[in-house]
Amino acid sequence: MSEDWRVPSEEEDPLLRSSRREMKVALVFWLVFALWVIGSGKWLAYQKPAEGEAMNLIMGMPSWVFWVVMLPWAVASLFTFWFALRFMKDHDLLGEEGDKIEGGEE
Amino acid sequence: MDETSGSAGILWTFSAYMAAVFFLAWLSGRASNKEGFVSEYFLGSRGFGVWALALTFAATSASGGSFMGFPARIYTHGWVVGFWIAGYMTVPLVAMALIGKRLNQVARRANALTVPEVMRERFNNKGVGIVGTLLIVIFLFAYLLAQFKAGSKIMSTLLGDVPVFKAAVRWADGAFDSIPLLGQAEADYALCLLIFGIAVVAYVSYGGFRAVVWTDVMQGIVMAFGVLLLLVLALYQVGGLKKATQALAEMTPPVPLTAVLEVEAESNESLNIEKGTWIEQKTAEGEKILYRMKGRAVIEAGEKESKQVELIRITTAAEIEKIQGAPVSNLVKIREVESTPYASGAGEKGVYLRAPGPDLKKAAGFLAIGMAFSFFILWPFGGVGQPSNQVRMMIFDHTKVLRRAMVTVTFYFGFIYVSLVLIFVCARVLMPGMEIDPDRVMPEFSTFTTAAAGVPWLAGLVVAAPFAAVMSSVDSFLLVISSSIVRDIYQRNINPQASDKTLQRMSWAVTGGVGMLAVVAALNPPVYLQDLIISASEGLAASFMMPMILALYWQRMTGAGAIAGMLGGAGMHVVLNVIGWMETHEFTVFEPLGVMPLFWDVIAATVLTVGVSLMCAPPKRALVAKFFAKREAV
Repeated sequence: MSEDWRVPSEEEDPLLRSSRREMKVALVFWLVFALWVIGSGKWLAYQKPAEGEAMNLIMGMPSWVFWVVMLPWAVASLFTFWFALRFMKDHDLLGEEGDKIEGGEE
Repeated sequence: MDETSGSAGILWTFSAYMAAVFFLAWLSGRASNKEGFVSEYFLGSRGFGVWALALTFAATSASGGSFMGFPARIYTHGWVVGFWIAGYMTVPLVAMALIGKRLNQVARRANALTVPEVMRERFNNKGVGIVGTLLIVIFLFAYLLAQFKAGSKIMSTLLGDVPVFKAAVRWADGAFDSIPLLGQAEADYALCLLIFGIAVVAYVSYGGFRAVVWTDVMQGIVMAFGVLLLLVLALYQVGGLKKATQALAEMTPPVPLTAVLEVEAESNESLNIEKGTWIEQKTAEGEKILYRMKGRAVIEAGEKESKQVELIRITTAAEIEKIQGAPVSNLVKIREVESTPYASGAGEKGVYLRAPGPDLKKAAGFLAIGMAFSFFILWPFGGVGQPSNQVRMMIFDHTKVLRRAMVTVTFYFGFIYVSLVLIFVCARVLMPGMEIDPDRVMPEFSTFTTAAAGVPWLAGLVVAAPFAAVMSSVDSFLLVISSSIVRDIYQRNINPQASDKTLQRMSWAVTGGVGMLAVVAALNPPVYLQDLIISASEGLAASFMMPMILALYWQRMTGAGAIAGMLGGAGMHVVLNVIGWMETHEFTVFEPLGVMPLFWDVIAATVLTVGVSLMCAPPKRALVAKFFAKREAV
């Protein structure tokens, strides 16, 4: 089938290319944190302490809350700061206003 | 400080808040760009800064659910709700970075002001715009209605003890009686609904998107300040988080039951026992049993017993010791008819500290691991699919604004959601018995903590937080609906030559009309309203998430694929709801393999978008180039 409708990658808009790259990193990031939170949650959050033993606390919260929620949340925030402030590429959007396309509907 | 000055303080604080909302709306009207009404009214001329973008995004995302339903869940199920909300740690990155830059670019190249318009122009296909608009109107209206109800409930709780409000309710009780619909609702609720509805409709109609964003910024600040204040008060009053968790470890869930209230001898006067009344009884061995009324009970004059009423029986020794029964305890005896202990966690100490958490109905507990995973998907990806979030990705003019807003939103969500978990863990310890009406725990706890701290007037400021959350969502949803109707249906399909003046009148009329329709519908809301909110929110995400992501990044996608994807996601969502209803005869959604419906909806939307696009002829080169090629190559 002819591919003449396609915009070749070298002609693609730089913002599109950087957005696509950032999307991939964001999705990998989400997957890593999903594995961390859900994996460690399955392992730690559902455990009952042994008979007669109190639950371990860290900073006043059950220890599993610290390892499964608070710590990953702090690390995820740091990663987001790095992503937003260092990794994402800047583009000026003011020059993007478009014109009406010629021709009828698709 | 006495009760009168406390309620006067609440009234003043609340009035100041409302005055600030109207002042900002008026200012925004003055600051509006007078050129191009539609672009200004529906998108604020696209030039907002970091704080505006961050706080309007955060405040719109945090609806009544964040400040009413979420605290209720923490109170009812304990620490496990921290696990339930954990997916929010990825929301700023996923919901903003995944589509933010690219959606802004495509919207600009399309000269589009609304989400359906972006889709329509991306494929140069009217049908895509019409389907998108219809889905938005149907799903968002259900959401809007629920938020109107939440706003009115908070307002009536907040102002309930204020003498001026009480007098107004007495007046309304008589005045509304003969008015159809209004007369059927409780007077305080109907009055608050009218005030809330008229206020929101007025400032949204007058100021448009700019007013929505500016008020969102203020509302976002009010929410953060309210949460901070409540956090400090809660931790101080409970004696630190460690004490709260240790006390929680000893707690067991209450037992819901139905019972008949009896008196020894008939009386000439009826005996009213109000909702929330604590009733103390003694066993034959002298052991204290503590009940709390879930509703109101009446023992009529000449009768010896009430009709069956709902109560809860407290089962935690520390709570029983803490609460003093009302004087009525000496007059009535409780004859339990039927008790329904929690399906999971009944009588189990430590159940509030670990997963899955206690649950009244689910034997597997509140949060099985499959559901935890589902919510980790829902929070960030559901956020990507919300049109009210998507439209916010179209309002900045440089990606620097987006990047900095992501940092701000990360701080904001982290602070709000983690703090709310800590606050309502403390509330579970400090204020027992709220299982009778957990949705009221936020306003009740605000009143409780500020009164205990000797500053009851501050309750107004704290309760303004959930009120602000509701208002900031309502205004955004209202504008998304009216923009879809005016821009995508009227201007693009019915009257493309409409003048600015006509569009202005049309926008005011539609915003006012939709708002008033929501008020009327909220006077007598559907029974399963809370379920409807969740379902409507998922329905929007199902309809718009994958079609939008693919539209932004996949050149081969076609208009037919977009329509199939939107309808497929929405259709799968409806089908799973219908199967759930047929199985249980209640508003229950069918969850194949224990995973929430959104997961299956998104798969359906993806398969249909890709499949139908590949079955159609490829899009035209000029159309693809318009959105995917460098500017000079177009």
